[in-house]
Amino acid sequence: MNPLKPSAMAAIIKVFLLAIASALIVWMIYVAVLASDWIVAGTLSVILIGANVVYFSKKAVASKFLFPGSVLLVIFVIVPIIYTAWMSVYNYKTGNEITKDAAITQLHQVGLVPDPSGTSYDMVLGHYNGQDAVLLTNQSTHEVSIGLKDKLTVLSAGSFTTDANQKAVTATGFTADTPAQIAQANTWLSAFMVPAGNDLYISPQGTDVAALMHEKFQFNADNTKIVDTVGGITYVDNGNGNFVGQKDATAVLYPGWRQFNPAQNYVGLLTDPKLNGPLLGVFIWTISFAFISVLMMWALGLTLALAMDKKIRFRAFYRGVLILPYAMPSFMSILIWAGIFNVNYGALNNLLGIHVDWLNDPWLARLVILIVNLWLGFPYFYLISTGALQALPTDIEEAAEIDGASGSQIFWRIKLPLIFQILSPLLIGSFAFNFNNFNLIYLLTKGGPIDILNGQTAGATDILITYAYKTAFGGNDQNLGLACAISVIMFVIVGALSMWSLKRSRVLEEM
Amino acid sequence: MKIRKSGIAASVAAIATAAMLAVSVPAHAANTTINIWMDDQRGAQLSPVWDGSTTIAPGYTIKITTFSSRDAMVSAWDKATSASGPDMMFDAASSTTDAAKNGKALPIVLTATQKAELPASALGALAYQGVQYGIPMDVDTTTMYWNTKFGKAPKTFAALAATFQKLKKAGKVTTGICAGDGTWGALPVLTALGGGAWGYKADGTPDVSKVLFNSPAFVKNATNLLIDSKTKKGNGLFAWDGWDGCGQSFINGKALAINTGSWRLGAIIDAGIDYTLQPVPSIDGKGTSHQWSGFGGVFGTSYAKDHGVDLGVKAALSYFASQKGALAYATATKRPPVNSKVGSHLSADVAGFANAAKTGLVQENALLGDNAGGANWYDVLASTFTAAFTNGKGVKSSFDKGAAILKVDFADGFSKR
Amino acid sequence: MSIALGKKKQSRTPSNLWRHIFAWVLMVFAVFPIIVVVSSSLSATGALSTGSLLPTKISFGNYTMLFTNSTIPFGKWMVNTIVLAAVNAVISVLIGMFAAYAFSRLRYRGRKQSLQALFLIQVFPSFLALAAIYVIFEHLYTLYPAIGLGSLGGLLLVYLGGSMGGSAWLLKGFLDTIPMELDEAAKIDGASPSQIFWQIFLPLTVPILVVSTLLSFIGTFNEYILASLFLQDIQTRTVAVGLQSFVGGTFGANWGPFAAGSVVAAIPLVALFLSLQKYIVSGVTAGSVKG
Repeated sequence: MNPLKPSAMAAIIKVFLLAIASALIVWMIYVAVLASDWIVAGTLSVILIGANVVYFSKKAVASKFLFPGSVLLVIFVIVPIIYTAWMSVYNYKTGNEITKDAAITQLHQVGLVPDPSGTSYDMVLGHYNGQDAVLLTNQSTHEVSIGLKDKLTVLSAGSFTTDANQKAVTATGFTADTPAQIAQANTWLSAFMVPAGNDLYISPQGTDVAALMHEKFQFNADNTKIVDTVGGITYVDNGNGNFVGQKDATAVLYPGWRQFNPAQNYVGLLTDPKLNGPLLGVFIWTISFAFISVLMMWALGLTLALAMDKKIRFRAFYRGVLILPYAMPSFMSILIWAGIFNVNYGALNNLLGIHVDWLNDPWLARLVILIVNLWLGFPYFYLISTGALQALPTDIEEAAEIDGASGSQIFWRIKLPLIFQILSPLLIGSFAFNFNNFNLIYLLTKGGPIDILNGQTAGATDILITYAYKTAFGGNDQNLGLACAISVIMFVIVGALSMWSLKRSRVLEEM
Repeated sequence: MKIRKSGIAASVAAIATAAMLAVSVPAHAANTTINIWMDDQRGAQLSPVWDGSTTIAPGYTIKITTFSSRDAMVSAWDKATSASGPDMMFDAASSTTDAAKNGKALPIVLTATQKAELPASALGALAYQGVQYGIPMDVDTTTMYWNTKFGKAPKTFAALAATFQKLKKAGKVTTGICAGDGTWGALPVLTALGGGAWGYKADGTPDVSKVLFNSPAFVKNATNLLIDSKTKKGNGLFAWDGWDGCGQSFINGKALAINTGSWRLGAIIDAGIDYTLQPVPSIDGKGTSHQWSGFGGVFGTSYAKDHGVDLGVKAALSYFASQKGALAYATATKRPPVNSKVGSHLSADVAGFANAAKTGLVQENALLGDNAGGANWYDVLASTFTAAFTNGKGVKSSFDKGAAILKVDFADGFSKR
Repeated sequence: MSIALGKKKQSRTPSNLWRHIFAWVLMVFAVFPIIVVVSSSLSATGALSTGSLLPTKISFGNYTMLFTNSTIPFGKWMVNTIVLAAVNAVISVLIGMFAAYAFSRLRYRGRKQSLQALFLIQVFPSFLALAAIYVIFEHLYTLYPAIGLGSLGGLLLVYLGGSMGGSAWLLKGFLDTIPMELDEAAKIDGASPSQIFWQIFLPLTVPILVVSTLLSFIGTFNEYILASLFLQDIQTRTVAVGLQSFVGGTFGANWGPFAAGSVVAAIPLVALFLSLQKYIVSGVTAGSVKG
């Protein structure tokens, strides 16, 4: 090998790239600062400083290689994980999604109901004595008035003119807005409420019509109590994200808000019999499914890689066809497999002339899941096994042949352990992926078959994540906080399992 | 000359930054655009008609965003915040009530005209806890397509069963009536045979103490007509596995009838099937069967207030509720309209479905989706049908078990309605 | 010598038969659903023909619809997808390679812990990952529309976020098999770590880089969950998202055009795979170690 000289060209490229990147980031920080977005500006500044420090320092060689990937990983993978864990301690579900302030604002809106008389007004926008005003004509009594932000003045006949429909169009002291001004009216008109006495307000319902509204909710000073003057119920803040009836807690006002409540989701998980009961069975199936799937896929993929290792005729044709399962969108393939296994109309039963109910028998359904997963996964394992085979040093094979080892001994005792060592992180990764393989189970069997009529809660092919999904999202309400708590607990389980198997396979030790 | 690399980098960076800053920073303008979200079907149909309109809400411009599928739209809506959220959205009625419960919908006031032209049940589907939020635009309901190759449509269910037995023996059909949309579309068969979901009080609200699922009349009729006396399993008269299952039988001319909606018109016509549209006949021809009627509609979001266009949104909702808006919508989407004054301008098929809506029952999602009893309506039906018809476990025992679960569901759902 | 060769050749032929038989059996298994896809794409009724494998009525209407219907810019979607997948594949494999080199070759402090952390991160089942990413990109959209919601650039960033975890493991395993003597020899020759990386290791690992690139390319092509959330405007959609409109509707699915689109989209994938075969060959590594 020729001695390598440090290249001046490389240094110039590095400086140039870094300069352009820095310039781009500085511009982005500027835009963020202009919009007062301090989080984005701060994050970008950290990245900018980090990049320059890392790439210009003489030490920290590893950081230079890890920096770009890590930045992207932190922003797009770790932040969502933190967000999930953070949401798991909130009472966060349908009806309890927004912040408390937004909920109270919305409740003010909800408490503004149309007056039972149904009174409505034709409205002209304009100005009266320099103030924003509306010229109102009662649609049933044709009474005309001027509405200001704090006052309603009825006009006497003669101080206004009407059109053919008895709608007032001009009045003394009132200048109507031009169309251009009407287009900008939303800013002042949206919150414009003309007091009409006795908790009654005239509220615009567009740019040319208004309605008489009754404010039925009375809020106390610190927003802990609401009195419904129409229904006669007092609502209090129940500390868990809703206003509920003081006397009858089942009367719940919506919208509620997200409320910090760590016990609700976690304790609920541990004590709810619907969640606890079938959990062990589902867990055992999940582990078995993931383990057997990976084993089958790897065995088939590796055998295929060995078979394609020699230059035989039609090899390119075989490879082209065998990669097709991987090239098709998986969710379509899964649905096709579900159709093929259909007891009445499926191709499999039709071709073989049998009438086996594949998807309704618990054990047959599990077999179907494994077969379909094998179909989906073996091309991936074929590809990585091919790569692993290239990594095997050929001199080992020659040395073993000289020592008199047979072909099968060479494979099982020498090659296979080496391949396993190269691929074991990927095998464990595939195990983890299949542990959480929601798509396959949900699209193929929906977790079934399940005998609801006899009280079964988990289906025969439910894995932890589909069971969790059904629990959190199955009813009318989506319980996102519960789903996050389940995520966290599952992460603890799968993480511990994966770390243990990493240690067992001693992959990390060899590093 | 030792030039520090960082010095070079800094100067290049400074020049490049100056160049970029000279270019421009996005400015903010006053907002008069109303952003409406639609799924792929409605978007494709309504964009040519309404996108860019400045007459629907005077002073405002309408902008329609079309999503690649309804799932994508719902997914984005769930995650949207004020920054990217829409000002209005067209979707099934359940979206409106969920948005109201979450505090993301804009309350509106109905005018007398609107209350006169739009049926109370339709308006009620887009209201929550007594406050109106949305305007109903279309009815989603099903009716029976009868394949006229097998003669005229029977007037009683008993006649339908007899026709089926005859043709099945001759090997001409494998299925009688197919619920083309899975268990959601099974209600007409249940009600035709004397069953159903829940009873109703005099004022039309659900009476959850009466569960009709396992009524004695239904059990008797189902055992007589749907069960093969030899095998004790289903005889093929009733199938519930949806479009990809028995629906294919209908397309291939091997089923007598299918109960589904206007969304299958195109496929059925393409397959060359001649059909007539009518409700599923009741057991003796007296009375009528019922199917679920869902509504689709439009509502304004709370984000409209943040974006400063809420008054424009209210004006737009007024337009959509009017006859002009309803007619434009029905013509473009070919969905049966809700506005009672728009009927005479529709095509025969769409009119057929609008008629079907008259026998529809309001699809109360609060009751149907509740699973306090262990599973919701749709899953309980699937399990019950499998037990009774596929596995032959007996109609009475299966439906009794199902009814027990449903009773708990309905009671719980009603309290949360 | 030639006699020995001849003998070797003869004894090879029977042992190759098992390869052919195995391949054919596996192909039947692999191709079974593909036949359904193709026959659904040729069906006129728009249903999945999972009943009988061959279509009852053949029509090319679905294919012509993809290319002639003005509301379906299928060609644009293909271009979007190929560009996105290619850019993502190249950059993400590079990032993975950087990381793998650091993990495998550079004994830095905290290496074992960072490897474990990286592994654990991949394992987290995140129900709210989509929600968090949506919030981040909403934010970015208001500031930098080019990489915010609705842009292919933003989607690329999200894919790159997961790239380090994805390819780093495969590449690391491969790099571990290259003996450390190579590094030492190069260091003695005076090479810097970055030169060792670009001029020695990268050429050595071509087979595994190709495999990684291929896996990443195919993965991006078929990804639709994130993409459908991001890409709304009909001109910026990828193929996976664009075809969604046929099957993600409220009432039922129109499988004909979807199947046709999938068949057309699979063609570049298979072509790419076959054309890259010659880079995934043995013998590239063996020689350079000795030299």
